[in-house]
Amino acid sequence: MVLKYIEEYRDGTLARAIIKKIQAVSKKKLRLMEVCGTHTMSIFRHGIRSVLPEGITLLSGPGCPVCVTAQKDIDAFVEFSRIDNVIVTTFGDLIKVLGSSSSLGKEKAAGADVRIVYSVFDAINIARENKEKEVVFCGVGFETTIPTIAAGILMGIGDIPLIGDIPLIGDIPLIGDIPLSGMSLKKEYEKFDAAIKFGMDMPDMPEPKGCACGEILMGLKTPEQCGLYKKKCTPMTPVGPCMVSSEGSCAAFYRYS
Amino acid sequence: MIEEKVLLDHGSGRKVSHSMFSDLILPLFENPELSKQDDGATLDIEGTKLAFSTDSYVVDPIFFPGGNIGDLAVNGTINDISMCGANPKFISVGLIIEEGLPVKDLKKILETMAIAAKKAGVKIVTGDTKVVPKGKADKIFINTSGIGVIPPHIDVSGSNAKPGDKIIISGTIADHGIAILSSREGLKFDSEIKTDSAPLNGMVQSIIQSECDIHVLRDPTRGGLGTTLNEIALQSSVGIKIKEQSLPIRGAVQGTCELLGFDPLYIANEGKLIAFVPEKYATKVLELIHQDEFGKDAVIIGEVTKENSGKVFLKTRIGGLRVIDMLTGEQLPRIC
Repeated sequence: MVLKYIEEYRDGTLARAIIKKIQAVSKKKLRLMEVCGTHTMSIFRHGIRSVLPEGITLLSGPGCPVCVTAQKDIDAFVEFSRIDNVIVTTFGDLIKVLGSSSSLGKEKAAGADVRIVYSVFDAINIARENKEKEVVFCGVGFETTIPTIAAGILMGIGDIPLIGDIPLIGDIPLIGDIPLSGMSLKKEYEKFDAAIKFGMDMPDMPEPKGCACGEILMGLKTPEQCGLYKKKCTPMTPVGPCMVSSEGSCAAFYRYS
Repeated sequence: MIEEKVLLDHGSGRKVSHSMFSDLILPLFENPELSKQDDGATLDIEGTKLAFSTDSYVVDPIFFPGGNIGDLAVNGTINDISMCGANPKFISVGLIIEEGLPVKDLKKILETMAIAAKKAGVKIVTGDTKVVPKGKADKIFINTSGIGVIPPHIDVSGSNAKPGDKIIISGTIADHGIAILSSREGLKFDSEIKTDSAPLNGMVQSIIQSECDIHVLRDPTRGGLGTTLNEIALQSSVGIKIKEQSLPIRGAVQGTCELLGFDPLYIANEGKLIAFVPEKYATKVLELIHQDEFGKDAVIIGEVTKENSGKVFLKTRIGGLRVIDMLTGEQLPRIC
């Protein structure tokens, strides 16, 4: 399974030539925002900021599933994990995200059946092997993750209830509601909606005090301009979603700069 | 420690485990030997310098491409002793077995352990077996401890790195972690990637018996190369600079890491060492490592700097600079 593109897309000679050209033509100040967690990571991993002209500022927008997940959804995931006979399946990133009182990681330590999966199809397999149990898949994300989740439902697998409230750009915590945004399952697929199945309706939670995640996601502030950054808020003790997710701007800033 | 309960991350070998060690464990047992925080303790018993180390193995699955929990446990302790500059001689084995483990599996694991010990020239001289009720352990857990004598003139430690030292890695990175991952339930994928689990005592002996000065020897296991370099930078109060283009990594491993979003710098190795040596000995040490069965792909990956104390930097392929931090919480538990 040798993927040649890695070599071709990482051609150092070519990249250095392009950087030289950017340095030569760049005159005015520019602020560029990427809205993809993978891009955020790549920018840091390859040290791209350090090779760009001073006038170019790179900003990280709302691009990771965790950053656009409301705290009340995390609270719902935690509540599901506390129900007898329920297996909660989740992407690894969500495990340590703190809701208003707990995280899936803490519930797992306390005995809940929480399992890390790499796609909805892993969750479906777990459901097939555990027919006597209910399996909930935490379907966070946006357009990039939704197609596979939808495909999972369409394959008619049956026994896997899914979290509805899948936030699209809009239902973003800390930015506020954007009308006609956010995603949930259509009425005909409601039986797969775990929130409906278990009658889960979590209250909106106030966002953490002093946290600038909202402004950071909108490019109005950099992580360093947040009063909590590196003080109260670190990857080990994250306050806001941008620090929780490994792809969040604050976590990436913390790790790489 | 701020948590009320132990989390999986506390055993990851990464930042959180370090905080558990320094906040909870070290204050209670405080002594000079433990405080050094090397792979094994260096002891002085009536004038003889001994290396003593222990490690427990809980890898899941217990059989994986290229090996199983048995040779992993034997090689792991051999390597920890070797990284103290000692020649491992004797090891102990503690088995914790879950009721219901097929005897043929146990036999296979024990046979592999015997072969691994023989290959490395160490004897398994004492041990213990416990069986726990079904569900109270996962198939089998193995603890190994070992001792070896450190020659009088040898002083290798994570705290000995000096500015100007060259950093050598004995081969490709991230093989073990990716091999385990590829055989995990729920994530099975076909790949030719095998664990790199191997005894490194032969390699270490040939280096320390040469006339070359060695400052640091370490095997970058849990937490990977990135975490180990950070530990050394902190222990020695120096900066470390490595080059991305020099890092040896198999194409298939790199490809898998890309696909799954893992950084190979933080993926476990079980048969690799890093050596910090003064520049004038670097070529000779590299040569010696190349002559060893498990050191064919060894290369110099970087050097120690006076500035940026406690930090590790990576010069990227495109010429950028990136900080390599100790990783916090990646979800790859029970890899060893």
